[in-house]
Amino acid sequence: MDIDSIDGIDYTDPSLAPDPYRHLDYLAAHCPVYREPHHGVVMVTGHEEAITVLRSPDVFSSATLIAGPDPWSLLPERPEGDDITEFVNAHREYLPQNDQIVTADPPVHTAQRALLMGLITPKRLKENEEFIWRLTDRQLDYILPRGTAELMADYAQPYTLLIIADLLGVPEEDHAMLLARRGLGQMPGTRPAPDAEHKPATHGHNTLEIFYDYFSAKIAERRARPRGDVLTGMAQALFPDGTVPEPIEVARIASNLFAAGQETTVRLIATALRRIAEEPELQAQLRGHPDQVSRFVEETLRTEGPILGEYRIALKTTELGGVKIPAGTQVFLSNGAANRDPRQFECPAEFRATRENVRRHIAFGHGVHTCPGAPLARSETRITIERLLERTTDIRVNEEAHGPANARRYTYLPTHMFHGIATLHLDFTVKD
Amino acid sequence: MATIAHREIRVDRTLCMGSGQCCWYAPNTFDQDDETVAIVIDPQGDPADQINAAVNGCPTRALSLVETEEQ
Repeated sequence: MDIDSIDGIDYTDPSLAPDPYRHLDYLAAHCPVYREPHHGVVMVTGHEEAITVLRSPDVFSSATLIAGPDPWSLLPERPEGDDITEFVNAHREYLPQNDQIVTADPPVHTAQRALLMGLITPKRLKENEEFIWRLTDRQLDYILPRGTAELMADYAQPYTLLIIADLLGVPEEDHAMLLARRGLGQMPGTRPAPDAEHKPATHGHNTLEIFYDYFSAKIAERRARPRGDVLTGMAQALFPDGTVPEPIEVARIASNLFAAGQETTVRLIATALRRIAEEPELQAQLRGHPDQVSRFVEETLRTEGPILGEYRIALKTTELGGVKIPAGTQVFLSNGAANRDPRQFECPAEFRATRENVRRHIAFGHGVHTCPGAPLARSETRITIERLLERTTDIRVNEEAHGPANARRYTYLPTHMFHGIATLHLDFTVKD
Repeated sequence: MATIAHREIRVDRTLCMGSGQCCWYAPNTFDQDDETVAIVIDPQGDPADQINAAVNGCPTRALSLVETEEQ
């Protein structure tokens, strides 16, 4: 691969989905900041350069996070000048998910994030680990006796839902209604509608609105009658200036916690289990050494994390990695590429289950927007793998669904922002 | 007797999300324990500007610097 062939590739082409890393790896190694010719987007694929962007929300705004390669087609006009901060702030309503914390910049973001502080932490999850184990076993009890399962629908989707709902304090009788609002009908043990699996929850404008009235009511309830759950923590949290948020302000963040992290965690679990099923030696090693599972999960996040990239918009004219970036430039920040930057990770395309510096990956982002659900995604994935390895003697790829070992067939999400397989059929030999 | 300003680094374990980002900016000052919660291994392990970057860069504001005076 060379730069001429790179210039010919439109990074948004869905046909790249099965192997987006071929051209991303080239970019990270050779041109970590690159203005691609198809949309005029500046792609940031270098690790150090990505960190600089993520550490500079005053220069690189999240307002266009999921607005695609051409946010200006959504906005009424394009201003001149080397600082468009005021313009962007005055026109956020034109951009998708504009009422969600993920698109906010400081100081608005700082205030919203305060409502989440301390609620999903390794310490809290450790204290609640027994409940995660219980829900893990409950969902495994459903799939293991059959000896085969489609991991997404039969396990990962209902499992991640049960856990976040339980942590938040959403009662089980409400799960079906909330899922139906989202357009995903699956409950533990049932399959989603056939066309539902290619729709990340982040398409369109403020797609989480469907949950706002429900969570607003719950926040008001928790203020009247506090309980020990995460919703209570959010209901009682104050903005940094000491003011009490309106229930809707809390509801937006609760909706994000409820819905946004699930798809990504589901993909992470699938990617990790596919590798375990495809590599018997690695499977045996992890079965014998459960203490190595954490690092294995981190290396999975590094090599094939669920987020390929996200957008930022340059509010001010700046320079990055020797490339001039005029104000108004849409920037595609590729977490997936930065995690495979050879300046940061030795032999980056190689999967090394015990890589020393693996936690320097930015699969969960970096800086103020670092994924608040990261501790939960890590726990869910680790405990799933530990329990599944312990309760089986063998995990294999189902050849009827995915073909023989030398000719596997997997379907990938057809998007340049996420990476993951659509379905994963596995067979198990259950331990006596 | 002169008073010496002493900077103490505090970690709020209930806020820390285990992002490990402090270890990037000040790798000789911070580490993570078995639960991935940040710990201070050497309060003077790195130059002050790196420690400041780590403290200010914490995504959950779990780190703080407290100035105390020692006799």
